[in-house]
This record gives sequence, structure tokens and C-alpha cells, in this order.
Amino acid sequence: MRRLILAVVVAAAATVAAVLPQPEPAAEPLAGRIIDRPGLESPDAAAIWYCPWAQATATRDSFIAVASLEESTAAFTFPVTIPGEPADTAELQTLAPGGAALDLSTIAQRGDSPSFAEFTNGPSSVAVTVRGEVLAADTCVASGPDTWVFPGGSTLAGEELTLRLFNPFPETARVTVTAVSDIGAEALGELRLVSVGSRSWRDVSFEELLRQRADLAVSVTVEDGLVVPAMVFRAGDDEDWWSGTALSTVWEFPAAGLADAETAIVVANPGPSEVQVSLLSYTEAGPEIEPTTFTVPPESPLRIPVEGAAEHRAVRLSSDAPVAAAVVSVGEPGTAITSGLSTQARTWMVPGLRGAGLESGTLWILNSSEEPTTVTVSALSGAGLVGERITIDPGSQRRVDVDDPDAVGYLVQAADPITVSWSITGPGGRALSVGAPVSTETTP
Amino acid sequence: MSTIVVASEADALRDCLAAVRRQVYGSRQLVVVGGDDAVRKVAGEYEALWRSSFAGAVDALAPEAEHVWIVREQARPLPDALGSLVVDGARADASIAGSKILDDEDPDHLVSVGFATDVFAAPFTGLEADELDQEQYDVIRDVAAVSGISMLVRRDLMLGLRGPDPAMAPTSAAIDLCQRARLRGGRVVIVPSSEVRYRATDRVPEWRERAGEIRAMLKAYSPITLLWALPLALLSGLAESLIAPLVGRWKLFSVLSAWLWNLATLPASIAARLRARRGRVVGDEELFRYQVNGSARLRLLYDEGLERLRTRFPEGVLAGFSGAVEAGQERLRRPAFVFGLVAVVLGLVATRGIWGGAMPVVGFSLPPPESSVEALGAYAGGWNPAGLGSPEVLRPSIAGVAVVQRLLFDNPGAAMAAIVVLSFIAGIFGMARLLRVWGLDPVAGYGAGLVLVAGPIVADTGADGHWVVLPALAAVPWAIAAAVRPFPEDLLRRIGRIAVITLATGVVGAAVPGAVALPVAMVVVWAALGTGERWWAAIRALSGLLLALPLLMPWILYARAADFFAEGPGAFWDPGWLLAGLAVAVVAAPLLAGDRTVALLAGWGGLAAAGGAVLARSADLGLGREAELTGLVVVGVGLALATGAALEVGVRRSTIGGLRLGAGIVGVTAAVLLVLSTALVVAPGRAGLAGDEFGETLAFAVPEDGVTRVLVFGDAERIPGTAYDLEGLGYRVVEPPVPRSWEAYLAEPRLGDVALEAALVEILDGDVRRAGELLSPFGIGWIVFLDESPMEALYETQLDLVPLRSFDVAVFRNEVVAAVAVDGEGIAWSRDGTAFEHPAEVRGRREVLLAVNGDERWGGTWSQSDWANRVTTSTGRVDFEPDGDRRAMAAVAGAWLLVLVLMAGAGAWAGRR
Repeated sequence: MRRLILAVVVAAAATVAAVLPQPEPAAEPLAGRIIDRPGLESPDAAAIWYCPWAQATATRDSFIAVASLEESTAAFTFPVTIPGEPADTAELQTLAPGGAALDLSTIAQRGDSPSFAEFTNGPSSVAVTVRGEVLAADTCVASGPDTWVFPGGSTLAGEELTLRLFNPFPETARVTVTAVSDIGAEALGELRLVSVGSRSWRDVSFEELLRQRADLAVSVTVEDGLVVPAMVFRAGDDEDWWSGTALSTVWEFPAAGLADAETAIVVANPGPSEVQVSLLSYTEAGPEIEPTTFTVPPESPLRIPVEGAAEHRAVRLSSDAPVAAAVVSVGEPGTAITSGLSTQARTWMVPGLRGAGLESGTLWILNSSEEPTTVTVSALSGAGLVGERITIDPGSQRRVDVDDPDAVGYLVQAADPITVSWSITGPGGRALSVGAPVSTETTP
Repeated sequence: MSTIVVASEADALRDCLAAVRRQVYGSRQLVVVGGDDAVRKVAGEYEALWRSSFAGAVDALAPEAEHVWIVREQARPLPDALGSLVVDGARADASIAGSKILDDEDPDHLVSVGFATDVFAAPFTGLEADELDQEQYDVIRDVAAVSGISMLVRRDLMLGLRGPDPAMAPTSAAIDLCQRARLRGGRVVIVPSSEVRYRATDRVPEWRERAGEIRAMLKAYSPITLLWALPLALLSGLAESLIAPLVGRWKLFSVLSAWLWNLATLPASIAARLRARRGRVVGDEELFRYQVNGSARLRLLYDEGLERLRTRFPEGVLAGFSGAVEAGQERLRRPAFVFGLVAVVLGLVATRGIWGGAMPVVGFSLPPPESSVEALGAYAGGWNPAGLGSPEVLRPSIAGVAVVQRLLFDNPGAAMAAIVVLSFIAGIFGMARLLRVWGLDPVAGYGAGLVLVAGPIVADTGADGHWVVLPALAAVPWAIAAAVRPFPEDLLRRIGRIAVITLATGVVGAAVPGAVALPVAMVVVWAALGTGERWWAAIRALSGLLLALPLLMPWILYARAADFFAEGPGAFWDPGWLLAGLAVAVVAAPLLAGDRTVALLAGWGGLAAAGGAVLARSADLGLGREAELTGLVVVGVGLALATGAALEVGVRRSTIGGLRLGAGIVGVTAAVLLVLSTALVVAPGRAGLAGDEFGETLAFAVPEDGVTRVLVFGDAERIPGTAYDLEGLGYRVVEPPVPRSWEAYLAEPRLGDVALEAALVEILDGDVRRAGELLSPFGIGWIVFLDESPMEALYETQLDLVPLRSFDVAVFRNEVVAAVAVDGEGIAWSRDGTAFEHPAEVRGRREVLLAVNGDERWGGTWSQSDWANRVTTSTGRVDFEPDGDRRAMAAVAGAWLLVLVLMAGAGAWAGRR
């Protein structure tokens, strides 16, 4: 009997153990959280801006300007490629909003000095203007695609095209560089999986690799790590640098016609199919009636001269497939080049734009919409803002010459989405750059 | 009468045939078997038939012959040898009668007077080396087998058995023939009046004899016997291989060859088995009748070792030792001793990887702190260095290990090795001792002990590094046994007995605190359902528990039971269907088939196993890791008890029959399988613990100066010790090169832990590009991902973290200086136990920032710096001021431990007296 009772009790306990429910399986770690491998990006409020191109030599210096909508500190780091050598650093303070600038030569005078700036607050932006024997300017980058495209280059006689690969991170990066030119896809086997050491940079000169190319579009694909590329184009006595872009079906060029120069829009089609592009020009008087249509062959660039360029001309490019586009201006005042803008915004920061000494600066604004818009242009300086309000008609471009000697940049705020770029002309040449949009609103 | 002479050489045969021809009792027919043409020619000379095989010779036997005399060619039978065999054999009604075998070169020396065998079918002559024939064995008696040199077999039996197995070596073939004859009810006797001289010219490789013995077992034994005898034979062979080199012999290849040969010839053996067991009239009991206990071969080795010992010492030197030797010999003849020896060998084999102090560093198996004094200090109200630290009380196992470490000259590796190895062996003997209380056979006890310390529970918990389960399991049967055994009359022995119960219960509590009440619970359950005097045992066990609780001070006074059992991941032990089925079988079968005591033991074990399983699967009731661990200890004890009961059913099988026998067979089979499953724990040699994972993994992170931390991410079950949770991903900080045992259990998060979590969330949100700078205040110099995680990408894109690709795991080095303790001059202070000191021991007023959770008992002039500590000191050292109350409690616990040990020692002394 005792045996039976015992068996029943054991069986009952075993049954209880067997029927106890299994707990819910633990969720996968970080479930619901999407963590993509971060590309070159950082939060608006504490952005890091990467400036691959800056020089300080006996004949050149770099004017590095920052702008911020909030009171902020920008901590610059200038890596040194000598192992064990600590990086040079500098700090700039800004008001809210405000700007600040430094000359690279006050920090380091060792030729090339790529850098990155970390802001404690934002939104913010940074631009580098190389001055002296040349004049080259563009806005640094805070984010970017995995594949950067640089249309607009060429390697004809007297021209130099240099790609800079800047790796500000502590891990060695590897990139693959490809190119398409007027003769088709280029063979660049030696530029496959190019290593860029940590916190260093590497230059690739195309005038040696790919001689006599009338049109050359270079792509940089990041395979490992992160790299910030920049391109420098030299024609005649002047040069200009610009940042790469991603692909887009719409591009706007607020400054597509500069005085005394031959200007062209260069479209790069890295895809395997033909792409139809149409260009619509805008002047201060309004848009041209009919757009011009072109066909870009697969894996090719296409140089489209901006015919009969008036000084006040802007261009909007539309395509039926993603392309990259840049504007190139070569002429007596110098060589200027910059990429197109694929986004519109109501607020733009334009650090580095100023009219100082013999240099004159110009702000280019394009309102491609069908409504007029009111734009306030304010000079950014250490002292704060001084605003000028202008109205831009629908479908028109507006040129604003700036002459505030104390300004280190400008803030452009509009009631409606616009695009902004800027140019600067001086004894060293001419430079063309895009502005830095804040809180991107729409694709144009 | 027919005579068959087994031959291979002509010269030897000639002498043999001459001797056969000289027999007084003449043989009508003479058949020579085997050999070449020369043999055949010699056979012709003596007018003998010649057959190439034994089967042919059997077929050629004259129909009128009643007996067949089988003689090997090395035999030189005296003229009346056959006559004696026939006359005395018939008088004893023997089916097989064997001759007394004497050495042909020295006829005074005995070679064989029949064999006993062991259970492994190995022969045991019972003769000492060079033993003289003084007619001391001259009596007709039953034996297990007779020598194949000269044996008389009844003709009808010979026809049924088809003679000796030709695949077997001579001796094993003779044993096999005799075993098969006895299975058919035949009687095997030795007839000493039949004297045969033997000229040893044949040399048979040892492995062949050994292989024949295994084959003889395969052919003769029942399936149940084979189930336990074959594994034991293998273990015995391996044990012999280990011991034989001590006497200058190498047995391993012989053992392996024998088993491989049997593996290769298994189909033929099965066919032979079917023939051999067809028509059997007795069971294995008859075969066991003339068997010696233990292993005959091990016994021979032992004798040989003793003989060697004797020859190395002058006469008389070992005189005082001879008594012990004799006692040893006597013990060797007892199965308990043999199986105990096997248990010790298994214990040593199962822990061989740990002997050298090389405990695998994995999960909760972490090496003790370098200094036992520091460990005791930390336990006794000092600083708990787990994670970012806390003043929470450490677990009592830290103090327990530290005490052992102190006794072993502060060697942490030796302490762990001693605890694990002793636990393993003590567990086996403890369970055997416990089951002996109810008269269970030592074989069942040791089998149960093996399942206790090397069974599925140890394998399960060992995989997570819970080495503490081993001493807990080992101590439980000692505590129970001390409680349930008859209470001695002598007062001193009574005190000693209570002290033993208390100490064993204390060990259980120190190892697995949740199981501290297990011994008393088990005894109470036994009292409720068991037999004999038992309620007093429950009171003794309860006394032991109450007296053991002070041993766990101060931990036990600060642990909150509800929180303790609920912490960690939900308790859910998933044993798998196979284990569950075996458990059911070992419980149910003895309940049904065993006698009253065995059935109650099985039920007791079953109740423990089922109750433990409930506890170990109680996630739904809100219980966690400690509940599961406690439950598994209970399951382990219950499973071992039930296994012992099931094995005992096998031992007592002769007393049951019918359905109960069938149930018993199922139970024994399940129990044997459980015992065999211990090979999974024994073979790797790590006492069930998983392989080392962190012994070297973090060695790279040791800083040149000061102390730094490693932030470890990964599956919470893979991270050493416990871990915090970051959206399902485990993480914690540890100090390189090896996390120590006092770091295993993280305390409840404090300010620093909360700040660290906030920093990690910020990084996870992608808002940080200088994670190194963010983590530096926590003393984190390295970040390690044990498992692949998408979060690695966030750390790869930090400006101040350097990814290192040359390691097996993802490692990031923080470029920002990170030290747990750093002074105002930026000098990182080094660790001394839980304290910090200036690396150059420079004195002078200094402010030190300690990246440990803020507590005002750090140093002299203290202030809180965010979540950390800012301490100003002029001694070059910062100590944590221990809690006085806790230290006093720990001192009381230590003193109480000493008293208990003395009491137990006094009891043991009184018992011996």
C-alpha cells in the first residue's frame, strides 16, 4: 500500500514538473532595433564634419569656417600620419546662431592637413577655403553614401585630377575606385581594395593613370571601414576641390553660369542602361520655357555645356534613372567645380562665404518652385546675425553679393524650400561650393 | 574411449603420443587434430587418425566411445592418468574431468589444479608462484573450468558442444567449453589423481587469451549480466592498463586488441552464443558459483606488485608490513574494495584536467582570488568587487574556497583541484555509504555514487561552469548517512556525529545555498515513508541544519530568500526525453520489482527527483537561476538514490520472478545506461565542466600599470558570471586577465551601473562617436564581443576605439586612458586585493579617483564624484573599511567551523578507540 501511495505521489510530482510551462524564449538581443552599419553619419545635434582637403604651405593657407544654429564648441582634430605623433587640435566657439573661423596655418603648417570637427551642439556645418596661389572651396561632409561619385573631372593636357581618400577612423579602411570616361568604363585594377591606413589619407592622381580623358567620373566604394573622399581638379593656374555625392534623379545647380568662364554640367551614369536627362535653366527673370533633353550612354559621363551662359543662370536637371552631376566652370577667373544639390531646404548654412580684401563672395539661390518665396540672408560672425530680407520670384535664380568683412559665413532662411550655393572670386582664382542644408524638407 | 590429441609440432606430438600409448587404461581410438604433414606422418606412425579440424575429429569419433580424452601435444600424461580420469570422473558424475597439471621440467611444481574464474572469464588458479605439489589439492572437487591440457569429456556432451571453440586461445577455449558444459547442467571436476606433466613450449599472445575470455562471456552470459559485465570488463581492462606499468608491464595494447578482435568477430560470436545457449538448463547463477570476486587479472597484478616489493627488501624488513599486505590482499578479494578502487580511478580520470590547478575558466567556473586572506576579508564585510563593485556580501563559497586555499599554502589552483577531486571521490563513497545503511550492495552504491557526481546533472550544470554543484552533491549523502545511521551510544561519538551532519550540511549550504535544507528535507521525507528507526534521524538532521546556518554568516543574514531564488533567467531545466525516460525507469522499476526497502528507496529518490524537477522548472512561478540550481541538486541526489535501488534489484534478481523480473530488467538496464552516461563526464577529465573559455581570452587586456576593465558583450549565458541586460544582450565588466570567483555574481545595479547602462544606450542610439571617452570614466580600457552582434558596427565607427582583428573575438581598444584608480597626477594605481595602492608605494597627500560605485567607507577623506569616489590619502593606499558587524559574524562562523571540525575529529577518535 505504501508502495502504491509512494508511486502515486512520485507520479503526481513528476506530472507537475512535466506540465510546468516553458518560459517564453528570450527575445533576440537587440530585437526590434535596427542597427545598420553606420556609414559616414552623425546626429544633427552633435555632428562631426570631415574635411578631407585643407592645406597650409608657404604659398597656401586654409580658411576653415564653422557655422552653427546653436551655441556650440567645435573641436578640430588634425591627424598626423607620423606614428605615435599626437594629432593637432583646435577649438572654435559659436553663438546661437553664429560662426567662427580659423586659419589652418595657426594650427599646423605641414602641407596637407585633413581634419574633422566635432560639435557639441547643432545643427552645424564646416567649409574649407584654400587661399593663396589658388582659390578652392567647398563644404565639408557630415554624412555620405557607401559609394561616392565624382563627376566633372578630366585629364586633358594641363589638367590634374587628384582623388583624396581620408580615413579619420582608427581602423584601416579599404575602398575600390572605379571610373567611367568618355571612352567607357576604365580598367583600374590597381585601385581595387585600396587600403587607407587609420587616421591618414592617400592621394590618387588620375592624370597619370588615365591620361587625356575629356570626361572622367570617378566612383569610390567603401569596402571596409569608413573613408571620406574628396576630389581636386586643377586647370590652368587654379584648382578647386569638391565632395562626392550619391546618385539622384534630380539635381539643382543654383550657380550654373559664372561670368567669363565656360560652364558645363557633367552627368555621370554609372548604370548599365541609357539615361534620359532634361535640363531646365533659370534666370532672375524666370525659367526657360522648354527643357533640353539629352541621352547619357550607360557607364559614361556626359558633358553638357551651359550654352549662352548668362551670369545669372541656374539649372535643374531631371533624369529617368539615378545619376550624379556636377558643374564645372573653367575660364579666366579661375577653375571652379562643385557637385549638384539633390535636396531642398528652408534653412541653409554657408560657412566660409565672405567678401574680404580682394576676394568677393556671391550667394546663389534657386527657387525652382512655382511660388515666390521670401528669403532672409544673415551674415554669421562672432557677433551674431545681421539679416537682409529678399523676395525670389517663382522659378527664378537670385544672386546676392556679400561684402561684410566680419562675416565668416551666411545663414539663409526661406519660407519655402530652396537650394543654395556660393562662389568666391579673388586673385588666386575662383571657387564654387554648395551650401549646407538644415533639416532637409523635400527632394527638389 | 577415444583420445583426441591437439597438435601442431611433430616432435612434441611424438612424445605425447608415446605417453598416451603407455596408458594403463587403453584408448580404442586415437585422433590427432591439426598440424602439418609432419604431424600427420607422426600420427601415422602411432596408427592414429588425423583430422585437420576439431569438428572433423568429433565427427570421426567411434560411436561406441563413451568418453573423449582431449590432450594437447605438450601433455605428458602419467600411465594412470586416463584411468584415474575415467574412474574418479565417473564416480563424481562429471561431464568434464580435468587432470592435475605438473611442470614437466620440475614435476614438484603445480601448474593447474582446475580454475576458478572471475566474472570476466579470466582464469584464477589459486596457486602461488612456484607452488609445490604437496598433495594439498588432492581432492576431487567442482571447479569453474579445468585445463585444456588434459580433460575427459562425455562423448554426448562433446557432440552437443562441438568441442572447443577453434577461434579461441587454449586456456580461454577450455574455460569456454567448461562454461558451456555447465550451462547444460554438466559438472566440471578436477581429478588430482590423474597427473599430467606439461612441457610449456607454446606461447600464446596474451591478447588472444583476453579476447577469448571476452568471447566466452559473450557466449555464455545472459543479456542482463552482459549489460553490466561487459562495461565493467572494459573498465577493469583499462584500470589494469593504468596499473600494469607500475610492475613493468604494458597491457593497454593487449586490452585494446582483445576488444577490437571481438568487435570484428561479433557476428560469429553471436552465432556461437545462440548455439551455446540453446538447450541450457541453468542460469548465470551456476556460472557465478565458482567465480572469485573482483578481477582475477587485477589480483594477479597486485600479487605481482607485492612480490616485487618483497624481493626488493631484505628478509624481515617488511615483517611489520606483512599484516597490512595480508589485509590488503583480503580487501582485494572483496568486491566493495574493487569497485571502490574503480571509483577512485574513475574519480581521478574524471578530474585529471584539474589536478594541476587548471580549472577551466568558463561561466561560473572562475578561479579564486590570488590571496585567500583578501578573499576572506572581502567576505567578512569587505568590498565586493563584482562589476563596478558594491558593499554587498559575497557568497559563502568564496569563504569556503578561501579556507581550503589557506590550508594549501594560498595556492588557488590547488584549492580548486582539491575541492573538485575530493568532492568527486567523496560523492561516490558517500552515496555507497548511505545506501549501505539499508544493506544495498556496494556495487549498487558505487554505481549510484557515480551517477551522483558524474551523471546527467553534473554534466548539465557543469556546462554552465557551476562547479559548486559537485561539492554540494558530494556532501548531501554524507549528511543524510550521518543522520540516518544508528546513533552511537557514546556521548563523544554522538557529538561527533552531529558535527559531521552539521559540517556536511554546511558544505551543501556554502556551495549551493539554496540546497542547505536539502539533507534535512530528504531525511524528513524518508522518515515519513521509510522503514526502521527514523524520526530521530530527522531530528538529528534538523539539528545539523540549525547548527550549520551560523557557518553561512554573514551571507545568510543579508540574503533575501525571495530575491535570491528569483534572480537570473527563469528556472527551466529541460532534461530531454531520453533522460526523463531513464529516470522514470530507474524509479518505477524498483518500486515495482524491488523488495520493501529497495522500493521505498526508489520512491524516496523518485520523490526527490520529481520534486527537484518541479523546482528546476519553476520559471512560471517566478523563480530563477538559483532555484534551478537547487532543484538540480535535488534531482541529482534523487536520481542517484533511484539508480542505486535499480542496480540493487539486479543484485537481488534471484529473489524475484515473472513480471517483477521483467520490470527489474528494465530498471537495471536504465540504471546501467545512467552509469554508462557518466563516461560523458569522465572522459573529458574536467569533472563535467565545459572547456576553458576565458583562461587566456582576456590576457591581452592586462595594462602595464594600474587596473583596467574589460566591457564584455555577449549571450548572458556565455559571459563569465552573471550579466546585466542591454535590450536582450548581456554585458558586464570584468578585470583582466581572468575574472575571479568573487566577480561572478553582480549585485543589484548601483549608481555606477546605471550610469554605465545609460552610456551604453547612448552608444546604441548612434549618438556617440567617441565611445572610448564615454567609457573611460568607468575604467573600461577594452570592449569585447563574445558573440557576433550588430552592435559591433557601432563600435567600429568610433573615433577613439581601435578594432583589433587578430583575436578570436571582436576586440576594441580604448585609446582614451582608462584606469579604475587614478590619482591627480594621472598615475594609475594598482590593485592589492580589493584595495588600491600607488605603484611605487610613494607616500604623500594624493587625491585618487576610484571608478567603483560610490561608498563612503572608501579611504580617509572621501567625497562622491558623480557615481564614483574621490579619496584623498597620504598613505599611498586606499582601503575599504569593512563592516564591523559582518566581520564579527564571519569570525564567529570561522570559529564555529573550527569547533565543529574538532568535534567531528573527537567523534572519529572515540569511534576508533
